Amino acid sequence: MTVSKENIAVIYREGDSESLEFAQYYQTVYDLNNTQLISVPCSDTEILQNETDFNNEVLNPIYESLYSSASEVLDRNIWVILLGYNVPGGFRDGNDIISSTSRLSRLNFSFEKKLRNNLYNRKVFQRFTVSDAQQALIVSRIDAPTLSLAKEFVNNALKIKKQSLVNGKFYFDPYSDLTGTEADGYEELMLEFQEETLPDLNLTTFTTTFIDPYIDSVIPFVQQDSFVWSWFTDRASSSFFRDTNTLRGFFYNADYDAAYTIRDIEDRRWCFLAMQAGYISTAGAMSNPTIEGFLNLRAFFIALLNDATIGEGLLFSTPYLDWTISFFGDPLVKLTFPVGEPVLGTIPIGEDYDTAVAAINEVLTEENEAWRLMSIDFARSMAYLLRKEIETKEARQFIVDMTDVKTEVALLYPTNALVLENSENQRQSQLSKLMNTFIEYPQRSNLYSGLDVTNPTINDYLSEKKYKISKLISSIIKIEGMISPEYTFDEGYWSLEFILEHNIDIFVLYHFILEVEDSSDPSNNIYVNSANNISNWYYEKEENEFVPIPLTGVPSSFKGRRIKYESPSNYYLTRASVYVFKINQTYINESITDICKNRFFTDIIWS
Amino acid sequence: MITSAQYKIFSDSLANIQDGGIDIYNSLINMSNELIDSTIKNDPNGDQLYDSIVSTSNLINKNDIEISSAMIRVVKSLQLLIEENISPINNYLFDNNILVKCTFANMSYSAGFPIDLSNIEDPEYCILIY
Repeated sequence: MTVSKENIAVIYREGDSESLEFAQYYQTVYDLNNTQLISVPCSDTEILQNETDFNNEVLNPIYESLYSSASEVLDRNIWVILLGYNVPGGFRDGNDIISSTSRLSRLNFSFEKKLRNNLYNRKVFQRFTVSDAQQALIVSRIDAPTLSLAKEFVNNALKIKKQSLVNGKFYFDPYSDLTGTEADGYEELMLEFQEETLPDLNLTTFTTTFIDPYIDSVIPFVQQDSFVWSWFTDRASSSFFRDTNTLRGFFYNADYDAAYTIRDIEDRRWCFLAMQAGYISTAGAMSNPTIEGFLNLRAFFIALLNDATIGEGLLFSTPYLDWTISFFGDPLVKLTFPVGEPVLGTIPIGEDYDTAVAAINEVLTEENEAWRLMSIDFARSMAYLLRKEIETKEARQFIVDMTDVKTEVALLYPTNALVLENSENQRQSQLSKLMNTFIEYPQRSNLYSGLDVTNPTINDYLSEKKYKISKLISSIIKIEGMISPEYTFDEGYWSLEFILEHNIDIFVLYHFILEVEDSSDPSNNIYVNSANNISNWYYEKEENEFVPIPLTGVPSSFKGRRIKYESPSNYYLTRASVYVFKINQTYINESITDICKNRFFTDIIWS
Repeated sequence: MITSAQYKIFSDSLANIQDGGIDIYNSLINMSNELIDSTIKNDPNGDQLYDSIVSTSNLINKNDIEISSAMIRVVKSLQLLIEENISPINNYLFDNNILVKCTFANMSYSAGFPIDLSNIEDPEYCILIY
């Protein structure tokens, strides 16, 4: 039995209509039973004055609701608690602020400040179990300055719940300006994670680099991000989070008070800023947790990689309970990481902001090449839309071909509506605005300079750059003949680009074997190109310049450069169909002939 | 009446149609990543292009990743057909040894017909919305 919506209780503030509304909103999202909503007679103070107040207002009422003989959820195994809008976030204990999420994890036990978490960083991973629940509960918090913002936080989680795949960048900052044994230990933990676990996430990564022990390397801003793990800069602004269309999964900055408040709209601490920027979960300290109390990122991501919920990951990565670290966000969400090769970059940060920005820009693709690559991505999205239209028509035809009248009557009308929803007109209306902006870009960008002609048309641009684009793109443009057919690929054309690999210690000359298979029927080998046939093969001799591969092959010194294959016209494939392309690099060196491992690429025919 | 084999083919095809939305969205995400990782982002005209990609990918997210009302109506009609003429949907699936795809189970739930985990393909890889 694993954690699910059946095991959660949502806590709201008694007599507070907005707090109740939030709880009911979350209830609707997960379709929870009414008994899973529990009220507590608490004040709306975010940090209570002492443990007694916390016990009276929060802990004891929750305990009674869950475990008394009159409890309506006694047989439900409540393992997860979500503290909702306007429920206190912690209480003071001397100079420390104990977080509600940490204290309530040990709901069944008396308060033992900074107690070692027995579920922390288990070397052999296991999901949260019944016996774990007897030691600690998963507790998280969703609160905000306003009810609408709190609901927005739930909506953000809902997006990930539907899609689950997070494929934005991972911004990683393992360095701080702190010194001492504990700081060195946490830095070492971060670097171990960078080496051993981070590559398994298959995410594009930006990592700060070490400059000086007294300089705190910082990430200047994030965009197209899904994860941030950093320490120690403890204040920021909302401009840190640039626009993105990636799903934002988890943000953590290890410092001393990131979670002090999440109800102040003017606050510049990280937890609130991250949630406001669309992150579905975050964690931070309400007061100094000591460095040894910071979250363990390896434990957190190992949990996520093993299909655990974010709530489980947070519990397994926190070293102490009854302590200051607070968790925020939807504890039931799971994240899925992409498959494929990650792109790694570095941010040699430490001198100034401009240096950092320049470092991010250092690996930028040249704009014309980027436009060409974007045209393929764009055509690909259109091909997938076309595929969807074709599949809906096939589904309708399937119903039409049935001989049973009752089935046809029941299904034909709604299936036809589905076809109309995915029609060519719908497709064009979804993409026409982007289409126009995309085609206009090279014309505007080269208006006065950059090309042989000023005020160029799109045909001028394509001609001079020797580019072609997909007919799927040109077909959306309403102006007849705007893009000349000579600058469009034939329908069925396909190409493949990949990076030359070289992992041995001797110089060799590479040739390539290509096999194409039908994705729906891998046994159906559609096309094979042998190693000694170099027709239609190209390699990137200079940056972004492809030339035919010589008879002798591609020198291994071109490792990291791209190899391209373009389809011969007699082997064009079906538009909007998906195929698997198998590449094998081979080399011949004196008497040695060897074959490297196969690489597989799946792609749709986008021409 | 629709046969169990036909039910399986039709439910799988609906799931495939729904799953295709992710590929559309991811292609646009790749497009925006290409832009951000290029010098286009330093061009004043690049902002307009980027905004256009973001708004289109958001539209795709809404239209092609969320389960549309038209899709829900198809699934609902299919499940109603079974329940009104044969048996409750979970009994039908169990009796005919049909395992539906995870995506179809989620769509069926949205249509008001939750499907038991035991009637779903590869349940260990299935993330249910219910």
